[in-house]
Amino acid sequence: MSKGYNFAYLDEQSKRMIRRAVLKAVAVPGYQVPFAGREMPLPYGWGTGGIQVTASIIGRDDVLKVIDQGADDTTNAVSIRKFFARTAGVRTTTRTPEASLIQTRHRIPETQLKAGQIIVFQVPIPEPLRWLEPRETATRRMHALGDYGAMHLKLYEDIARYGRVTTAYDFPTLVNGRYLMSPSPIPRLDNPKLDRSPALQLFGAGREKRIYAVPPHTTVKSLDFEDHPFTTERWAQHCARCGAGDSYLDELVIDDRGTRRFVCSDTDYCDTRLAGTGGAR
Amino acid sequence: MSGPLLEIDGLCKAYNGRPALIDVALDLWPGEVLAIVGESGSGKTTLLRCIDGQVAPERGAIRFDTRAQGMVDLTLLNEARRRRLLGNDLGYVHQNPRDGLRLELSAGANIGEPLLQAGHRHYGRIRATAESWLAKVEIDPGRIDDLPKHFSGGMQQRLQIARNLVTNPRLVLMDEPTGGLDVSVQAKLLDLLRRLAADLDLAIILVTHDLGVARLLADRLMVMQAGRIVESGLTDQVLDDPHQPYTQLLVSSVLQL
Amino acid sequence: MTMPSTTPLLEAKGVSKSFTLHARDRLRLAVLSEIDLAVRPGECVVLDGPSGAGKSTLMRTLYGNYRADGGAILVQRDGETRDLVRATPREILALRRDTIGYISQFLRVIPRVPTIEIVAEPLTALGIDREEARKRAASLLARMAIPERFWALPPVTFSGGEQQRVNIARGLIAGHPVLLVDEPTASLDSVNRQTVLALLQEARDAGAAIVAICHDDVTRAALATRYYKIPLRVQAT
Repeated sequence: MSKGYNFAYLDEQSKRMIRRAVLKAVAVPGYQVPFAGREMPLPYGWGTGGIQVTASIIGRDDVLKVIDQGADDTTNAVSIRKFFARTAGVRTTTRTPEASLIQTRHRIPETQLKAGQIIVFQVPIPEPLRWLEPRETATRRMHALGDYGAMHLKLYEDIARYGRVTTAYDFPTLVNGRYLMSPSPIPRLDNPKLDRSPALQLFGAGREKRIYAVPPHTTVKSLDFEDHPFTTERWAQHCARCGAGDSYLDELVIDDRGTRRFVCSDTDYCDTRLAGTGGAR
Repeated sequence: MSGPLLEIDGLCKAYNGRPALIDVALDLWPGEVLAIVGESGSGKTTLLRCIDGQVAPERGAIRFDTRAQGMVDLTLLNEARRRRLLGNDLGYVHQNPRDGLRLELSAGANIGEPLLQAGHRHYGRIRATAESWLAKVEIDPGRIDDLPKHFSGGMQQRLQIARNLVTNPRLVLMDEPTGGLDVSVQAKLLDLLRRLAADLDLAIILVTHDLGVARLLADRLMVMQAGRIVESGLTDQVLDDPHQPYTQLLVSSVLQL
Repeated sequence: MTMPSTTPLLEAKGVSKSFTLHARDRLRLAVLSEIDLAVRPGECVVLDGPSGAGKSTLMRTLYGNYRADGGAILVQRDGETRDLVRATPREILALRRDTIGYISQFLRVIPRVPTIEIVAEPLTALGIDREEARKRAASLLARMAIPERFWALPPVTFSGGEQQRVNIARGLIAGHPVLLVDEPTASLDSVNRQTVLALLQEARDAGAAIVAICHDDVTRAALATRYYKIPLRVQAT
């Protein structure tokens, strides 16, 4: 752990302020709580919200996993993991079942989370209605009044135009039957994992300065129509590495001739399956 | 249902000390069409906006017969309670249809939104309802996926009306619904409104400066001047036998060719 | 002809009507003064008096189109007596729907409405099913010798006589017990006049109470059971 930094980079007062925001968010599932975002040593759009949430709740005995699009070994995941190693001195891991705290960009691990685990999502645009209504004052009122008819309009327009709902990621959800929430740009496949998860799910948006939360065992329902129910993606292929047929697959171009392979996006899940210990789903 | 749908009394509203409504009272029964005429600045639009909850009066009561709780004074409700109690019972047709439509969404989506807001979740049925309403307001149902920003003013206004009526409101407030449309388009729209009002047993409060529109559509007429109601009665009564000086002036100003 | 029973269906008592023209320095024109007129079922009272005596004014006041200054206008409805002068706008509209009919001198209609709808409208206003209303309108129009091919057209292009027959059909279709009729046969040839008179006589003999303005002798002779001369007005300041 580097000298010259407070534990986990932020000063204690800032961490308390953020923890208060987190408590408020947990008390009102899906509700966007404004918080006084601090200057972080990386620009907006790189996970500052997620980092601030993680920094505020991480403790010396935590085991931290950081993933970016499911992978532990991409640049961002590596940087953020190193950041906390240096400023908090905590143990880090790539193994989902061993982590007590997981920070993620745009994916939920395939391995089911357990009670006692916390997952922190990096969120670019926390407001699910922003596409329809650019004014913050108007969207706040819509949330206050539960005025969500308009959100189904997006789905309606998709079905009218394409015959099906085409939203592939950041699919809107209704939390605890009350608040409309953007689950961050996770793929549709991951939406069902949000529903009644035993883990605590926290969401941090640094640029927009909002924190929201889904406490354990809370209902999270993806929006749909009675005659067009919510569906997830399906691949014709299996993972070329581990053979999984139920995970989110990345399509990789592996040579200059354009040869493609489909591989699990969740690197830990893929490695575990390959090693034969069988990741639990 | 045996009582009035709407009862207003002692309504007062001022903007920065300038009175816009002075002691306004009226009642409206289910299925009645009431026209409010007056010049600009008479307070007629302010009255409509008070009923719709867009502005709050300083004094007075606006009682509406809600389905859930009977007669309730709307001025005492905050927005959340107002929405819960009124549901879709009250519609508002803006003078400029662009203020009452989502121009970036299709015609079908515009009509479907109130249904979605009311909790309907069956895409096929919502779409079928939207198609039938397009036909009712004489827009080709084949245009259900077109954007209203590509519609003419008259079509936009008809779309706005469909959007307001799709949830069967008990009362619709209309602010100069035919203003800004040319004469033949106006005529079509008025015919439509007449038929819909009769078929749906809809109560309408219609604000207009055009006495011809009032005569065509309204059972009753109220004349406003400088924030007060100066005369009211049956439409034909007020127009054919005006008592007040201002009313006589208004009526005589209409071109009789 | 049925003998008129004792209770008048329409009774004006002490009715006065004047107009104040504010634009002309509040000039007051007294037109009607202390009018007493009772009309019983089976009666047709033809209003008498020179032009400008107030015949039209009285008709319009009896319909509630003009507001009387004083007196009462009693109408029998549902076994109860209503006073038109004191009635609320809602009550007057209800009376016009089911009790008092007014047939104006010329057809005044909302443009672009097909003839059959114009004639059916008084029935749909009473809550009668649209199809049923149209059927009855069709048979009445046929009786009035309006060709079927015209029924879907608005009457604006019809001749004066045709328009007047549509007007009469609309006025009679709902079977109002009280009818106010202004010059019903003025623009008709003798054949059509006969048709219209027959219909009005039928209504009268079935127990309607009619007040009529008509100038031609044939019509007066056919319809009137008595005449009422509007008293000379009392000049007021």
